[in-house]
Amino acid sequence: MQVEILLFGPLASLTGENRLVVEAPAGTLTCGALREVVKATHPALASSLRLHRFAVNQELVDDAAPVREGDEVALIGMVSGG
Amino acid sequence: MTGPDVSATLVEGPVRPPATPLSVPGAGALFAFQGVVRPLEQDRRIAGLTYESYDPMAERMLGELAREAASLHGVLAVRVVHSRGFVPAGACSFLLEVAAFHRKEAVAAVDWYVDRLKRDVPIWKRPVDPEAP
Repeated sequence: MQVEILLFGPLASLTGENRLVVEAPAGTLTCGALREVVKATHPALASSLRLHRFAVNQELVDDAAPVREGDEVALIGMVSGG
Repeated sequence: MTGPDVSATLVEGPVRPPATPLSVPGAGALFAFQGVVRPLEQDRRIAGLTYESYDPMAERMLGELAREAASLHGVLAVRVVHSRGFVPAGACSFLLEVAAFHRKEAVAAVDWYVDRLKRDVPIWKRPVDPEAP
């Protein structure tokens, strides 16, 4: 399954992209599995990846959360509002 | 008895002072916190900060945190405004107003809110060099 992952702020600057497209394994996909795919395919993100959180359909989720076809997925780096 | 009055908004550029300050009948404490862009970032002079947000998640979360702050701390009203885009040094990028019966819960609500905002809301700031075109 192809998954598009939105990037913002420092992560977008780090990669030079505002989205990644990764090929995830077939079957039930979790954010934890997606994290491993990103780690393997995007070395620029690998060292800090454990610090970032996923949002699925604009809700922060943990690594057990499923990712389904059509979900909006974002990788949320350390935020700096306020 | 109605629940707390809550509003949260993202605006382009600096946050302007509200036309009317937050006012709630019966409130004995009105607390307004302003986050202002400092002129230095890690000892380097900056023109200001540019804020990027993941919309509409950011605005929704600003409101959810306001409702949670009101509920947890028993305050009467919470009004939040946060900037996106460029905010020059010296200008306000974040306004949080809380109305409560008493000071302690107003201060606690503000403190809690800012901690959660800085931890969870998808807003990022980037310093702008004064020499940048």
